[in-house]
Amino acid sequence: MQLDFHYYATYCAAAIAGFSHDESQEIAYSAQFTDCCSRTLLDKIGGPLSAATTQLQLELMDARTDWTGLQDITRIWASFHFLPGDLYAEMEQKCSKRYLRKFRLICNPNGEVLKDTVELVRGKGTPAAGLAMHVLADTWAHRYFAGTPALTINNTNYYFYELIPDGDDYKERKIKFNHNPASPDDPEKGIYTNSIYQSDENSVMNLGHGRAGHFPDYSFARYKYLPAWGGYEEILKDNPSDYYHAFCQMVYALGCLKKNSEFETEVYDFDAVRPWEAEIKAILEKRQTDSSADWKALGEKITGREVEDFDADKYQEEYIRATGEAKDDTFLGRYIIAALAQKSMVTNRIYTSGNHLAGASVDFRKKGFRGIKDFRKLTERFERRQADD
Amino acid sequence: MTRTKRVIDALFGIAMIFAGQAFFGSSVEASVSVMLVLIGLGITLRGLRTMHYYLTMAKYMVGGKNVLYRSFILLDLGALGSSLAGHGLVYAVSYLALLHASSGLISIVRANESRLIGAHWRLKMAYGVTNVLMAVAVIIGTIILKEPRITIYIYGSGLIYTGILRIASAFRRTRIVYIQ
Repeated sequence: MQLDFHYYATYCAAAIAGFSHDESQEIAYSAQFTDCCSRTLLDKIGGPLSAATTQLQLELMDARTDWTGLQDITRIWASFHFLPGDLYAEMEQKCSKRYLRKFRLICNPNGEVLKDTVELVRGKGTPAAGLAMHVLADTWAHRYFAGTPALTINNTNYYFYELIPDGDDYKERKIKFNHNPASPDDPEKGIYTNSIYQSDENSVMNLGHGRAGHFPDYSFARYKYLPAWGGYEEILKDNPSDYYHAFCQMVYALGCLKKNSEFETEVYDFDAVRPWEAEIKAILEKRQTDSSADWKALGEKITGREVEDFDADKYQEEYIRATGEAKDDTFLGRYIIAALAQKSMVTNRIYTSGNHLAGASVDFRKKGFRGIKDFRKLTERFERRQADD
Repeated sequence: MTRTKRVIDALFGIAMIFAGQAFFGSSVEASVSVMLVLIGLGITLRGLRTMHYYLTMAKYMVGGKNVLYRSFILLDLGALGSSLAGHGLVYAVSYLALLHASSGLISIVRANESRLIGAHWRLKMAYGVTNVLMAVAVIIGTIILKEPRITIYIYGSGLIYTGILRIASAFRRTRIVYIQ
């Protein structure tokens, strides 16, 4: 998913869930900021580098793919963009443990870790809620791909067809992929950019849906292909339907956070969305690579207020100017703490499932503070809260 | 990272530093031969690893047979690389120049990107420029100035640098704290 869904559609979902215009903008901002919060940006504002929620293309090219480098990449992408659907999944055929560990990181909606993600941000404010909405929405767009470099999971081949509505039926058109990142995707001709084939299992080119390009990020896309892990069985992906489910699940999740009720998976607030259903489905079906203008217009219709354009720099000055502990109380400070907490939680879930691909997790209550220093922010807050209680 | 892996990585790093240092005191012919044997050995090991990768991972993947064929090709190339020992200065030069040039160019582009958004960039730029200069030095020194010792020194320095990085990586903090 891109700016159109993560920012403008999230704004619409928050407004429908009952948040005010200002709160909805904050939630939308932090949902979209998850695609901006790279180490380079954190370095610029003086934030903890371990709070990175994404990696720029060049950061990825520069990233080491040794054991610790892979764990770092996996922590970022599995925690924020490819949340694993089932950490205890089994393959139909017998396979090696090494393969199974990667297979279990395949992203899918409605997993246990999604429930933990939404519950983790309860009572933590709009920056944390927005971050969780990014993770939730991506489970629908990025399903069937894993947030770790893995040729054997994420590769695609020549068998990749788009299904284009044609009357009551669909016509199939083979998708042409090129590898030039500067050439724009062309939905009319069916030409899209993807990452180049790299035979190295752990090459960053084999991370997530890179081998399918941005195609899974377009709401109008319906396609069938052979996933590398699927034993030659084709998968049919229906983005308009998936994105609608993502939207209704966001409304439901945000409603739970607002009303302080428990979040359950497989529940969607179709009723609340019904008044806008036709307009939302029309936006999702429209063949365009950026739906921002349509979502923005819908958002303004829902709240009757003007929706600001996304500006990644909006809260940076506030964070840079703050000193000491006051930094943590700024908008970005709260976002950073939410990001560290999400990364810590997902790493813990992956680690306790017997999978070391995202690194080791240490239980603070049993062993005290160990490991990467940036995460001390979490324990300090925890200790402050305990002292206050 | 497990403790055993950390120890293995650290020992491997120390071995690389010793190997790199040995290049500074050896004759050109012997050094180039050893370099090519090391490169050939590296490719052979890669072939074996690829075969292991096929057996444990790629055979479950759509189109995974290609990986098996690739392992055969790598094993062949490894044998070829080792057999060039003694008369393959040009191969050693090409290998080193390409390695340093590509790594340097990526760092320069990264540094430029960091500079544009106001992040720290000077160290990355210095690393990138140094690598490109090393690639140029390998080509000029060996092909134009006919001084192959430059290639040997650069390869030896590269081994020492990689060894140090490996040791540093072995002792890097990797665990993440979790609060229930």
